[in-house]
Amino acid sequence: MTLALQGVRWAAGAFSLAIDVEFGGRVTGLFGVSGSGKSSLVEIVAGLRRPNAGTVKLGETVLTDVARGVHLPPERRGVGLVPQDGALFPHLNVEGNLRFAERRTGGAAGLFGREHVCELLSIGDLLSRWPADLSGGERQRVALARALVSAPHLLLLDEPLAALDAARKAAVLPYLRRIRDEFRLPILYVSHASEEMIALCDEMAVLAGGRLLQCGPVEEVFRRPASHDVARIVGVETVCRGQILGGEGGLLTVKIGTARLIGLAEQLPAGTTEVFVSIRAEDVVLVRDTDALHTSARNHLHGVVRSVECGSSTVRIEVDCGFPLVALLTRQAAEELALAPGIQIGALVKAPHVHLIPRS
Amino acid sequence: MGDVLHVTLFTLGVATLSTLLILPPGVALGWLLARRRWPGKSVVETLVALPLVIPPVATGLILLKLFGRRGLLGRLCENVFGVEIVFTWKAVVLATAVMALPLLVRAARVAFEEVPTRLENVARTLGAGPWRVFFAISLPLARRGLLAGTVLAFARALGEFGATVMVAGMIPGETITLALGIYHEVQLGHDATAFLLLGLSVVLAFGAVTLSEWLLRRKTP
Repeated sequence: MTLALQGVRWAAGAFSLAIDVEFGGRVTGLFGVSGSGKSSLVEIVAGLRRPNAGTVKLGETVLTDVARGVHLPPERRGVGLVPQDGALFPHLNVEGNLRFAERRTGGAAGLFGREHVCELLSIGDLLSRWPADLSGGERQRVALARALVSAPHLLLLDEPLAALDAARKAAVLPYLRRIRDEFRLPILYVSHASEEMIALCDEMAVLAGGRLLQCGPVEEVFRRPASHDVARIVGVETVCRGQILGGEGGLLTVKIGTARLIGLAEQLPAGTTEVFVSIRAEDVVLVRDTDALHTSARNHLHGVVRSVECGSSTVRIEVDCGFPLVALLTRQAAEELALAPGIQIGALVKAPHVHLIPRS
Repeated sequence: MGDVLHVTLFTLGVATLSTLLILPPGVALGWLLARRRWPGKSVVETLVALPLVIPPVATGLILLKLFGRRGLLGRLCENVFGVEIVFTWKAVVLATAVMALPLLVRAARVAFEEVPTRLENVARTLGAGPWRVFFAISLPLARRGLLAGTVLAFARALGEFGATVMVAGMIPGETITLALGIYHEVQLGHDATAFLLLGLSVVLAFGAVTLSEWLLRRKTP
């Protein structure tokens, strides 16, 4: 099912939102810093905010059509919203929170049934607890469960991990993946953490100043930011799928394309095999002659320069070394190395800069 | 002694009745002021607050003119319902209700303003219509403020004097409440009875406050 926003306009004071987009992927990331209009967009999709113009469609259902005066109220949209703090009802215990959302489905058994959802999110033991007594991670899991038992047609996750510390984040992420894989539900995932984008989303859209700057597959957006602004907001990164081959002494060997890289094991849960490898472009060092080099960097790669793109002060170079690796150099450095497409080049990456993000 | 008991029960009854009468419109008005924008909002706001800022006797005079025999609302009541208001027990209920309403509306407004809109919004997305959100989310979350406002309104109704004396007069056995009774007995030189009524007022007020404290402490997660 696709979520389509056509000609959606909304303005308040100096801020204006203008969105034309179709989200087709299963999990679409909406990436933007605060003030970019993410929350307004989420509220428009949820029906909590009326745009000044435009249409919002979910599959064949028209949610909003300003020109025809259509505005489906939030309770009839089937859009499950999970905000940053979970927004659990403090006067109801966990079971009461779930039951509140079950009205529409009558708590029916099956995919969106309470039993299945509780099991999936491991909250069966929390049913009699009160929201105030839950940890941040538990709260988010309950909020996710509550949205799911309402049997939504679309899940809107508005920075669901932003309020959690790194350890809790890592603990909730697998549940988000489970939801992604278990339910055939389109998910709009709002965040400004690139790691969450890589770990969860198929596609991503970059939002800034109320405008969508770029939409596309996650790897693509990180590797080839469409503009200087996008590059500044998301950072330039190589994002590739990889496979853990094995490791020792706290290091792991990952196979990407035909290349092998070494990264740190401590970032990963034990037993992970499928990963996304992300390397920030500014962490890559390019050298003309690697053979004669003695260096502390664990990863020495050989490749061919595919493209050289000059920015105002930096140059973005894509090197094919068994997988497409992006490097960001200063203009001066690029000139000294006389980089041009077709040239043989070496690339150095320190093991801690090879970020490993679990895929499943 | 029988008179004192009668006055006490009458006062309790009147205060309870007027509090119950203003509860639905007071809560609704508090919610409308907290959550909605509508034309004439500031006018209604001022009107509701008026009894708080003008002398109670002045409010009483306005009510007397409105509900008197020749008053606009007085004639309406007499022609349509066949009831006379002024200088009956109904006038006592009317006066105490009008004087207590602003306190309830203000408390309700603040109580609803303190309910996070976020929670109400999320409740909508979970499939609940506006009425269900109000009764299942807003009302229970605002309950402390609403309860405090109700007790305040009830206490006001218990002790109202100025407006009551204007519209209801001081008719023994018919319109005399504890507050009116204290004044009445002092006027007659019956200081002992006045002190007895004073003591009873204090007991009732204590009772109301204790009850609300107990209700507030009960069942808080």
